[in-house]
Amino acid sequence: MEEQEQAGLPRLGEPAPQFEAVTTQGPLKLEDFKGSWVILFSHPADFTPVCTTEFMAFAEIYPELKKRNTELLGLSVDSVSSHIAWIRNVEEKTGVKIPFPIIADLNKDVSRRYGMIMPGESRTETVRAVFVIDPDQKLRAMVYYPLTTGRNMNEFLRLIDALQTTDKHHVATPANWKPGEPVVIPPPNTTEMAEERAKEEGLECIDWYLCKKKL
Amino acid sequence: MTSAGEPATPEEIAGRAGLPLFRVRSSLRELVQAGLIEEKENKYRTTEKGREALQRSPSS
Repeated sequence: MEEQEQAGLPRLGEPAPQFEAVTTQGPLKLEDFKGSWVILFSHPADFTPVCTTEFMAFAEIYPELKKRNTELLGLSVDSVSSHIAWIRNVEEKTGVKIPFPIIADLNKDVSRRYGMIMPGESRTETVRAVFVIDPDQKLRAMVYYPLTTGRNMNEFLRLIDALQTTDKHHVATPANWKPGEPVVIPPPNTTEMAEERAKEEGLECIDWYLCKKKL
Repeated sequence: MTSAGEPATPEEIAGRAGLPLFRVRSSLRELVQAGLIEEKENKYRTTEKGREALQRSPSS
């Protein structure tokens, strides 16, 4: 049983594990999202306090994610009926409508494919995992939080911005980068390129291996 | 895709219906499996069975 629960972690840069799942918006396949960025995230259980705050926060950033061609897809091992009852309760009590689908992963099929169940945290619930999948369905980022800690939505917006900036401009982004700030250009691979880099104008360089530029 | 049978792509249907593309793709898959629509070169059109179902629909 434990072996099944720990089916392994997916790997960054590889195709995201495909699945077909029952959701609050009908049966969906991951391939239905081709062409969009996807944030697939798990939560431990419906009708729990930290998860409720997270769902409200995910709903709050949903319009910003849509502007970035990004869809949200939630998951827990609860049933569709439980998900529906919970999001209706959230809307009734707080006025916040949950606009994105939630997978009912009762048989843990998707959870296992994505390594969302960590027995050290819980044998029966998924941890707070986040997977960023790009429009070609490649897995681009993974973040895991424990049951006790709610996630920071601004970081996911920043992560999407950073990945999209990297793809568009072939650059990297430094620590705590935010859109509009200088980006890191790839370091030179040869001594000749290093010499040329040192002479380049318009760059903000600490040394030949760490140069930033404005986009 | 319209009830008149004009073929349309999933993107066109999503735009007209104001629905996310992933939901349209999922619905189209189910409708194809039910034999109510058919796909050719990424365009979907209503089948005879689909037209009959539309005529029986109270809202048609």
